[in-house]
Amino acid sequence: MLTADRLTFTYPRAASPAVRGLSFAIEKGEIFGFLGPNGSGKTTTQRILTGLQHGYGGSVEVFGQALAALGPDYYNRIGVCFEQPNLYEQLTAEENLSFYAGLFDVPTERPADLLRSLDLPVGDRRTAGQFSKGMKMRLALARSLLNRPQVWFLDEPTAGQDPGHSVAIRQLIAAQRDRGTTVFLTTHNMTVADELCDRVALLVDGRIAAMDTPRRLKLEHARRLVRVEYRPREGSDAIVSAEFALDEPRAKAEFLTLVRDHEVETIHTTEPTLEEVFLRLTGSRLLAGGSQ
Amino acid sequence: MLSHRLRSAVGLNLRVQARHLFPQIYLGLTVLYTVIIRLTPLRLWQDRLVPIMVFSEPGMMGMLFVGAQLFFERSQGSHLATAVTPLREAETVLAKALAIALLATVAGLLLVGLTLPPTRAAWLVSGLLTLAPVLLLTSVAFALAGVAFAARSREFVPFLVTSQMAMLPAYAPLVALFGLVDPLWVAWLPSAPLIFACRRLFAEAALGGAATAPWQLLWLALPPALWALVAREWARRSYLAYLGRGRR
Repeated sequence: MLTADRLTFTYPRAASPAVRGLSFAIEKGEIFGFLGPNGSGKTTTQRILTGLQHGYGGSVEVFGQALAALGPDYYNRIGVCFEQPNLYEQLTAEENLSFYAGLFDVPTERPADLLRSLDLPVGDRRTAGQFSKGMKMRLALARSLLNRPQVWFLDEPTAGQDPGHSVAIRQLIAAQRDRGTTVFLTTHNMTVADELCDRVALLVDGRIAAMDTPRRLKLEHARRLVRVEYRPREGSDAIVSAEFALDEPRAKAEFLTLVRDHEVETIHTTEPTLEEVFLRLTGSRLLAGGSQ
Repeated sequence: MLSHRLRSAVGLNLRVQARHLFPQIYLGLTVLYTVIIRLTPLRLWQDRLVPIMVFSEPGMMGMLFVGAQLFFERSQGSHLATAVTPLREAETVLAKALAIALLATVAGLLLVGLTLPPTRAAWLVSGLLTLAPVLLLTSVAFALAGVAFAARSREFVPFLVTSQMAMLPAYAPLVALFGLVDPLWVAWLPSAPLIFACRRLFAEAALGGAATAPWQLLWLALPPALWALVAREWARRSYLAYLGRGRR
């Protein structure tokens, strides 16, 4: 459905490339997570894939055709939701959707239906500029679904949402995948990626550091731990905690000794997270860099 | 014929302009100009002043307003959302220009209609219908140039200075109205046909509208049409660069 081969891009007057030789292939109906800190090249890659950034090296194929050869009809088949809402803020939500619906050459969703599906008011006379940040982002999501896209590009779709709406958006993304839509999800939210993505690519300094299913990445790169809280002496008021790596034989023996010799208060297994994988692979780079 | 995308984009631009009170500003200016021409001693020079006023609406104002709209869109990012739809860049820039040109044309025709010396109604209608395409195409050409200037400027003030400086030669035909330059020297400028057509209507109206049938001035729409084509290509290329698309 979407293939990138040795994709590179350097901004004019930049000292180093923003994207360095990215290669990946995304299957139809897959949610592909593109994860990385600010400045890692995520948004630049999305701009290239959505035809907004020309002058890149390498090649991109979408729907079996070179991206450069697709022309404006490409936009009848994809939906794009940016990190910012990018709305006409003087217009109402319905005016925004009605205008964009008129630009497509394919059948479009009814604006009122989309508004309802994203918990936005129908018939509201307020302009988009008067909406909260979360409402603006949901309106932008609605706009990106107008043309029933076959490939849906999302950049931080849950940013600015309260927990309830964040869950609803994650359910909407999963529902789109179930309908056969391919989703390219750009985010630095590892929890969202872990929950939604079939596969993820971890991006650091414009390069893919690792790419696989979240589960396999966690099994391969994260440590499975057992955390024990215990009393060091019988009758002691103090409670001490210790962690043991399940994959290390010596730690396993130490864990068994501790459980046998002390009064144990609690035992928890610590599930590995994508965030942990990312930190292991990239060191302290999670917060490094500026936005691109 | 206009594509459904272009019609939709023109409709959007008209609506956005209305929210920014552009029609009210145009109407206010038209009323002000009409009052000046009809109620002050300046009416003695109406045959020269009205062409200046009519030209200032599509020229200076159109360029300024279309540029302002582009800067509004840039601050909101809505141009990016439009860029990922099937709307072509040529349609995007043309929609902006057409929307502002429609306003300028209505305002310009209203001003001429309200200030022309009394004449036969049929001649007046025919005169305004003849002026309309010249006015519309001149407005489109200048609005497209405004899009190009705005797309190439990072800030509003540099846009304002650059675009208005570049507009200066367009005022040269006005000098010709006062007999300071031979009209032939300035006839090639995009502003000339509109200014000369407008002046001619006033001259004919003063004579009772008998000398020339207004439709004989229709050929004056050809030069602004050619200028509009040139300006469209310039605006399209500037807009591509503005989006970061540049050359494919």
